[in-house]
Amino acid sequence: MNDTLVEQSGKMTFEQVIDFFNTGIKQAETFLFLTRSSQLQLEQCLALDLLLYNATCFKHEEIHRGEENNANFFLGFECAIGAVRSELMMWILLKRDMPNEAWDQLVAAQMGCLDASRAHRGFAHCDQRRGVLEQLEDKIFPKQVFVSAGFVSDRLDCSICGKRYSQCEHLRGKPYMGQFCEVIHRNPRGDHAAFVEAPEDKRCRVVSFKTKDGYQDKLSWETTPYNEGEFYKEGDKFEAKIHLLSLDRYPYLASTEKVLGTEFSALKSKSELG
Amino acid sequence: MSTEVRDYISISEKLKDFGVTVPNGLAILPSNLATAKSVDELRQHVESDTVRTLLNINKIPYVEIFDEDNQPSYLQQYGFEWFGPTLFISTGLLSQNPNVLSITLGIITNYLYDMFKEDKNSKASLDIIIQRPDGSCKEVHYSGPPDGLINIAPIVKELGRE
Repeated sequence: MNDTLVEQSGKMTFEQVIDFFNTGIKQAETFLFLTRSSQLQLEQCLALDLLLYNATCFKHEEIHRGEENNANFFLGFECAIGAVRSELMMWILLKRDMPNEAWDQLVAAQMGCLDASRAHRGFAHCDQRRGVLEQLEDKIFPKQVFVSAGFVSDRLDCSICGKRYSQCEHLRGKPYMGQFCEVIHRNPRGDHAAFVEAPEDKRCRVVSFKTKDGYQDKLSWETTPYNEGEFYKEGDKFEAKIHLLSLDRYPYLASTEKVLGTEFSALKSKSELG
Repeated sequence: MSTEVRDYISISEKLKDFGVTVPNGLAILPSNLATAKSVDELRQHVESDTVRTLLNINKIPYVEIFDEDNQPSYLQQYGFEWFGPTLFISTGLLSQNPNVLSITLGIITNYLYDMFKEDKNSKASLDIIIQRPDGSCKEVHYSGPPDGLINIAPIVKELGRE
């Protein structure tokens, strides 16, 4: 079916192709509410998996044709589709009492919206959606303590052309032929960690902290008892578990099954039974 | 938003101590030149290279004080903030080309607009060091919204006239 769609695109106008993707996104957006059924939200996630696959196929076609503007346009679709899917999964995970996983999906959705608006001017409206997601962050989740890792490296290379970043024409964060330019650090070493107000990646945060009864989760407020050998001493230094660094820069591109893990099978079988 | 002006060490003396030629024109300096005790300790922000590319693309000449294989290590900090480089400019260059700094800052601002769009939490920081005819140096440190960067050009110009 997927190949068929790309093949059919030869008979479709560019406007019709855009309509196809916009319709798929719009349909899924109807389910971006807490009250919607988790099963229906899962179905939309799966539909978006397919839509994202199609956007990637179209992008590769445009790359093959050397059409950079169109390739970046489909990169924008990949980001926008991924953002909506992450937001849907945030709601599903919240309803399954999984706030930490839901938080990661909220952040993934915010990153997807920002990247979509960076990918192509046709996705400038995604910036407004990011504003809505930031409001959701303030209203649904308690305030988090963010962490930023600093490191030093000997040399920077460009992810687009492989040359030294200082010697090429590509700029970090800009799209080139359907790909974002990233800096590749050579021989990186840890330098410092700091608490920050506005991190680049909100997944990097204090996850839980020590109390007399165990580690208290910053989102659920549940306490996990200490393992053998772990203990809490009144008046001792503040100790916490932190998520220091996330290596996946594009979390919104992960498939529904990968994100939901074991929850995916449970939801899917329930949906099939229904 | 904050813009701070402070005295800075003599760039020419410090670089001479490290056996490095003093730049004559616009240059990108390590961010910890004042405190580093040896060349090995020098650090530059990752975005120094972004600014080098922006200058190259826009055909704005600048001077490299270290060759390609001896660049100071790169410091990467992760925040929703753009950690810009330390730019060096002499009053001589400013009198020959009074607009070079405002053009450079304008180019950086445009790039940052594309990166952050209109996010209210976005922040940029950057240092500019101006060397005056008597060799003394002043540093202007900016930290605030990306679109405010452009406002430091007239401050630097004024410091050059003092």
